[in-house]
Amino acid sequence: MSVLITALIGIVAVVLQGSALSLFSVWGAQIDIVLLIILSMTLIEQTQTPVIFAMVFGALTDILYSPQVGFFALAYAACAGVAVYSLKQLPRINMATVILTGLAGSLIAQGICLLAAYVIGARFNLPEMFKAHILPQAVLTAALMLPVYYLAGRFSRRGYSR
Amino acid sequence: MAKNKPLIITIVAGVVLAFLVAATSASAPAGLRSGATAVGGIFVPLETFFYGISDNIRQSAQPAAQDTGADETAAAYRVMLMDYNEIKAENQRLKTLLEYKDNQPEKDLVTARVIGKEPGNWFEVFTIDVGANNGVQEDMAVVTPDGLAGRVEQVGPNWAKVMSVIDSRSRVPVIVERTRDVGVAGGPLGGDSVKELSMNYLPLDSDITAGDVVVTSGLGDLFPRGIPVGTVAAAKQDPKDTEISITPLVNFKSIYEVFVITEARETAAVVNDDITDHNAVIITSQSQPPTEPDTAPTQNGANTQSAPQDGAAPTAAPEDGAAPQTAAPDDTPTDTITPEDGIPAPVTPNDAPPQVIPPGNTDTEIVTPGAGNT
Repeated sequence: MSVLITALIGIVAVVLQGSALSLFSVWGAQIDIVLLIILSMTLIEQTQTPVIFAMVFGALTDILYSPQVGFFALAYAACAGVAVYSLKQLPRINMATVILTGLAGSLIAQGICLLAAYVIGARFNLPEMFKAHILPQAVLTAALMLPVYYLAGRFSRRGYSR
Repeated sequence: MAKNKPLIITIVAGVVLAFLVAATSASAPAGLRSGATAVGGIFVPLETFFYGISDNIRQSAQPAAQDTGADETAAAYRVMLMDYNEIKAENQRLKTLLEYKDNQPEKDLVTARVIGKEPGNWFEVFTIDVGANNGVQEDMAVVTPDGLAGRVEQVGPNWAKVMSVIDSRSRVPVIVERTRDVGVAGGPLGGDSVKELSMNYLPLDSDITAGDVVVTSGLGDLFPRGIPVGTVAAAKQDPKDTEISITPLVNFKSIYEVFVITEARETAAVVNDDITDHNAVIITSQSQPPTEPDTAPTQNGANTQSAPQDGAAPTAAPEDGAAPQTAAPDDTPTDTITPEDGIPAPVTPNDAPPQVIPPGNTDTEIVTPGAGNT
């Protein structure tokens, strides 16, 4: 049941991200709802499960919207893996940890996307790209991490995703 | 070991996914992508639903923000106004699409709705709700009434992914309408809030200025010729380098419906484009005494003159370099637009724009030094 509900949430999040949320941007940054959910799961569970979900949700994003299969899957899975490994080293999670996880998670995911896109053949003006998209995206993800983590925590405590 | 389990899983997953990224690149066999193609089709209705909702929210957000009335009647009217504005905007879009389709009889167009966009900032790729079942194939051009939008990159049974012209991987063979300079328009290098294309491989002595219109050249057979791509935003030229930026005509932030060109046939309009390419002469009716016609009128009454295949001057032009003269069937006086040396000059929008010959127009004649035409 928990897998089913998480999978349903993931599917809705992926479709929302590529359709509804892709039309809106805040200072050049779009809401990466899939990354937010994955990072929240990572903070709550701190097991390898979010890594697997990250891979699956990322693969679905790739299939539906990206020109390459594995592009977002690689970024999300690596991001979740690093987050799980790093959080295991911390004694406890506080507000700063949540915000930093969002910021670092977004930067890692985008860094991997950047490398993968370069390998595929895309070319970027990196300083301009960093200023216009990467940094605003990381800040937005960090800002949204708190409410999403709070909601995911409540959701988890009520047993919906267990 | 147990503590490092997530890290090991991540590394293994990373290797597998990195392989997938490489394996599913454009050069990979189509079979590798068939699984993903099938899965993609399942989600098309869901994507259409969500994209439609967000479109409605976006369009209705403006009036809702302006009106702060609290009473129920006002709220009901607000909803009605939103519906009205939404329907009005959609009606306008569909009307423009219909007009565009009617004006393109030489092209087979498949209407498609945009149902998704690549969520990151790395690619400018959008998904449309038509696919192989509708006759869409890879590399077909995708246009809007404003101009070229991109080309089909991947095709599923009922969906297709389109690489926009502003994608950093995109390369479009283009020609500047006024100067006839040929180049390649590439996607932006990324990061710009207003996406602009860059034009490369231009001659160093090209005389391109801001405002020049850039259209597809048809070279490479990827895009049909003559589709507007954008206008030159800035042109920096010096003896060593030419830097041209192009503002695309299509607004990719609000793209909802597009056309996929499944087949493009050469017609009069395109032939005209050819003619300007090959320094054609467009002869129009003027008030001058008529001379003997060289050829018989065609079925539609237009007087057509044969041209040599070797690219020499038109047969109508006397060898001494005097302006070639012909007569319309109804003896209407004619004149030619040609330089004094007898070699026809390129026809540009600044002097005399290429003219589409309406059927039955007896006052217009085309002479080209290239292949014979009608």
